[in-house]
Amino acid sequence: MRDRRQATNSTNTPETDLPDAGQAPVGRAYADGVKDAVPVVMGYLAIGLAFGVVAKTAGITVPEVAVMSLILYAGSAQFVTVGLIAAGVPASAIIVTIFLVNVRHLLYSAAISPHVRHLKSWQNALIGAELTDETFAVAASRLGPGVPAGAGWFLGINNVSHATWVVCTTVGAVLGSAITDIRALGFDFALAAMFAALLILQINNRPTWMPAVAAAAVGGGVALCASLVVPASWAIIAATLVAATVGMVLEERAA
Amino acid sequence: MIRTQVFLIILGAAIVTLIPRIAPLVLLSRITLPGRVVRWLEFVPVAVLSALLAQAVAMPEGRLLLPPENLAMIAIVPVLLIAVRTRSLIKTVAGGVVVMALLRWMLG
Repeated sequence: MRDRRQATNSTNTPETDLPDAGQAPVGRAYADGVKDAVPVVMGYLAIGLAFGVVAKTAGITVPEVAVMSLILYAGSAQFVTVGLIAAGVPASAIIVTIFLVNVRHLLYSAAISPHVRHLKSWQNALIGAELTDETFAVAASRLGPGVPAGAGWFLGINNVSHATWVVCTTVGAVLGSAITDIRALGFDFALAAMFAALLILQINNRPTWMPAVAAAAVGGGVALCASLVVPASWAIIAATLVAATVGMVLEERAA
Repeated sequence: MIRTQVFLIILGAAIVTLIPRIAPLVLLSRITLPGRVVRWLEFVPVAVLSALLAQAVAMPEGRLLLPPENLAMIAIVPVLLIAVRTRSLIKTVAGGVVVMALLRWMLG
């Protein structure tokens, strides 16, 4: 996590196990991306299997699960889709609902955009096509202010995460009810642990930590309160808009 | 077997998902954003992560759940300590999986 601002402002920067983002030659960069995606892979393992089982139980066929994971590729949206198909909801209503569930990706895509100004439009489209909550979180935590993202590195993260999702959901659908306890071991906690680690690294990345900690507290609070009245994905949008503003204003005052 | 109706639903859902994923990346990367917008966008990861973490820990089944039913709320304490202490993504994720497995073994 060698972010330039951190390198100049901080004298005792703790080391992390993460190498530089996307500065290496393409093959190396792709391999670095694959390595950075390991926590996402661990998380998708449990949720992917769980989704496959749920989808199969709801009457979705194995090839349908595979196609859905290949072209839709969105965890919570796939659970919602399966639920709505099983409930016999009309296609148009399902598609509108999925748009509302996934519209939060606008924020992820916008937040990545300053880091890919040097890339071609088709490269940015490819990167965006495989953006998820988890791949965004991993990628963003490696990109300090003004640091350019390598296309090869980003595709490494995206492709291995996507491949894991397709394989695990399909395997889950094939095995179906043969898997009785998908929560065994604790892999279902992998993504929560990943979000926790990335949040700490992000806070550590800011020039001063107070505004970031305040933003995180506000973000967590708004996310929970808002999810009592709106769907969880909208609560994330509300929390992001409020918390990012709080963080930016506090950091400007501290400067 | 892939049913046509199901395939069309998946295809439609995929297209409306691609738009918010791709459009800002392609359009915003071509223009120079004002400094304040860029600084706001720099705070989006912290904001998103705190929201995702809060939901993952407090609402593991999609609704608010407290301990002892919600083991994630217990497990997050040692996991945050590991994260602060090691500043390592891999160690924190591995530690989280082990902590959760131990909690289930002891309390489950």
